[in-house]
Amino acid sequence: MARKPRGPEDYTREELLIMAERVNLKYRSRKSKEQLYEELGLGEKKAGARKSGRRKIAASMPARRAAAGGEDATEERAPLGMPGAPVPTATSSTSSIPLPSPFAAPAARTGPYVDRGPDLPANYGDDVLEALVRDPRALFVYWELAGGAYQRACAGKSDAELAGAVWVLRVSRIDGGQFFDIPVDPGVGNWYLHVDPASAYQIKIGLVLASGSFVELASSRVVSTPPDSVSERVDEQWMLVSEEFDRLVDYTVQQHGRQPGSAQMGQLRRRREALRRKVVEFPWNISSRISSPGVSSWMTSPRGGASRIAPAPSSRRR
Amino acid sequence: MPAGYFALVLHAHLPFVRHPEHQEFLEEGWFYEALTETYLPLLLAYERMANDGVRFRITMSLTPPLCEMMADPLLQGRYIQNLDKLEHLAERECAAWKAETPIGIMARMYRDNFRACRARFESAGRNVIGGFRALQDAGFLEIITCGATHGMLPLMRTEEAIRAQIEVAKTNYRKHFGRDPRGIWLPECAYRPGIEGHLKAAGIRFFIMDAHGLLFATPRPKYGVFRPAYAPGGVAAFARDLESAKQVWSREEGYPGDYDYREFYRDLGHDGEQTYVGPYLPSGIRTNLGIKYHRITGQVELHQKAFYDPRAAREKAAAHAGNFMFNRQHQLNYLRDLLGTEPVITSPYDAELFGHWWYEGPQFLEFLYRKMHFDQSDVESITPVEFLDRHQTHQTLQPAASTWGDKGYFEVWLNGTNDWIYRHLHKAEERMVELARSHPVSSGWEERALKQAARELLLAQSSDWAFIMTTGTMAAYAERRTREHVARFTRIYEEIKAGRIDQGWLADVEGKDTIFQEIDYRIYR
Repeated sequence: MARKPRGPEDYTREELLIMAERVNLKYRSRKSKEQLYEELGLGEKKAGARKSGRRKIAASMPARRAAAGGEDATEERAPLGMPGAPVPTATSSTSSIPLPSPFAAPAARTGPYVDRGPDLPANYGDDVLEALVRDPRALFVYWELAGGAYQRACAGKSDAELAGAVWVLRVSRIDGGQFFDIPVDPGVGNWYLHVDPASAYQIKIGLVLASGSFVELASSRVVSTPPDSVSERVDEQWMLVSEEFDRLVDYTVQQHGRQPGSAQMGQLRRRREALRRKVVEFPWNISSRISSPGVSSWMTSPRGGASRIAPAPSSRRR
Repeated sequence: MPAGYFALVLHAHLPFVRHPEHQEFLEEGWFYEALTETYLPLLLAYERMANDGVRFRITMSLTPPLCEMMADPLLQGRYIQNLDKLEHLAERECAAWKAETPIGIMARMYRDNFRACRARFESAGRNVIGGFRALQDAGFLEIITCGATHGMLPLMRTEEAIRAQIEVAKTNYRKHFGRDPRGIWLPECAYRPGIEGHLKAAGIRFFIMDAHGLLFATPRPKYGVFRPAYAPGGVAAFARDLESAKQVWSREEGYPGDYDYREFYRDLGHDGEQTYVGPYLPSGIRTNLGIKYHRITGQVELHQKAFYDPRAAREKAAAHAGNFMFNRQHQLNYLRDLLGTEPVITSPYDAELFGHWWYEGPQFLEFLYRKMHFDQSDVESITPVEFLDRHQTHQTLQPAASTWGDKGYFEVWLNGTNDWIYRHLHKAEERMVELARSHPVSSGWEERALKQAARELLLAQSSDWAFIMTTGTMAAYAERRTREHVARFTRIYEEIKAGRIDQGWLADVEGKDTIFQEIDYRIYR
């Protein structure tokens, strides 16, 4: 995602001086615009020479990783780059490609200097996999395989056994006992999974060998997705006739379909149908106006009145 | 007997932004703006009502980072400087425009508002917490707490980290309000099954959640969102009513979009000549000053906005308050028949909506509560604790994981722009637990380092950073804060492990991240 580098003509000397002050460049006030530009490392010559080789690789990667392919990328090699590593997918067939750290922030370090804080470790020397629930139908998993589990797993195996092995995420449903595998590039470091609501899952990363056996390298805890509909379970002590409850739920969500207009009527119809299936189609758009409290009040386009006339940023300045 | 109850909940929160290393810092302005536009106007409105004998009940969260900023002498002093500038500018505007001109009228309004803010700020000893605390002690307000630094509890890895967010908040609440909190605003209303156990352990009686958290509970909630229900262990969940939410928030129909109300985006900070307003702007950077002369006017371009008329806007706020009350009366009477018992309407909002975005919001609230007190008897305002004291029997159920964010779950805080932070936050949690367990006793520099490690972890966990990364505006600052706190934590962790604490550096960090001086790092054991 490298942006086209800006030349010295794209900056004012004042801008460059501010940047120079931030990095504490010596004798900055005596320097010309061109000198500042050069010494701040903004020029194509400096940045390009170091990074051009990597950019080609980056181009084939997902945006996030490409952007993360900064200076620290060469230092840490994900298991794929290790000697004797299996070659599961076409994209990683050039095993000498250093995979970028999956945990670096998606901050392209080109263009004008922006202080995004210090670099964080590319890994912590662990073998972990963690699963987080994003919503009833999606999990986020991240993993790190830097603790030696891969090497230990490979140690007792012959090249023949490892040949043709495939890296996978194994997604197991706790309640039903089924599982499915998703082939992944372990260097990616994270993944979003489509799952079902109101279900429990455990995710593992590992190798499926040619023999079909699974070598587990890291495993998540059991995580449960929330339901996305009204519960079928009725509390006997607090039982309510189904129609009454439907009226109540209908009342709760229907308020938002009151306005005339075909779009709203269609929405209302869909809600009624959903209700029949006991799946409430929520007016999430109201939630979205609220989003996050506090700081969001300064961040989001404002709610209510101001939002309808939110202008383009440029027009705000007179 | 009223037909039912109305429980307004205002969530007042800002992340901890305090930069002693800079003379002026743009993001510190969030706090000064919120004081001038929201916190002080609300406080003054509450106090007017209390003085006039109006019975009102409002629940308000004042989050620990916000309290810590309110009580911070550096920020208090800087707020006065901020007021000095604004008052000076308002004076110049008053001098430039005759009293009967539209701008002249507004310039005097702003000058008087700034003066009123200053007077109340100074009379509170520069710490406005005292004002809110007095209203709580008098029974008008129920002030609730939040996560220590507004951390996303369901996205944390360890139970210790969740417990620490709640326990540190509780201790901080005690420091500022002299008693234990009875309720909590879960950060971002983010709930997942199991969190109630930590609330119960902290003696918290209720929490606020979004509608689907209760509606999708197991078993079904008999009364929908119109009565609280107990989560396992007996902590009550109050869920958001969508109808009243929509009347205020809705883009199309919400009150704040009325054409008579003040336009947010026309601000003297942007409109004025650079040479004229420059000295009043932080480091000369164009930003909002809070002096705005235009009204929303209609679906027109910014340059076509008409002048604001404070009197017409005030009348509109009164009309809207009447309309809101009328709707609640009908809603409660309808629900009373449907449920066969008194319903309670829970209406949670960002406090900063009132005043900051919706300039007339505090006036609206004051009109609403005055009308509810004097003009009717169908609706009674109540706090969740009062409701629970009057009605002890409620359904017990398992609420569903949910947030009040876009799409109702965790995506705002867990997506391609910010998912990289969790690996670091989780590792830091794990390391903090390790430190606390391996140092049951400590003293001197080691103890200082352990306390600072806990502060850095907590500050890194603020959900605000992930949120800002999603919205994209000021994302660099949010990234920087996350990385800085994680990096500081990591360095402290490594120094403690190595038994070599860089005292000069640690003292410097202590001077910057001053939050929670009372912290006990052992909470992570």
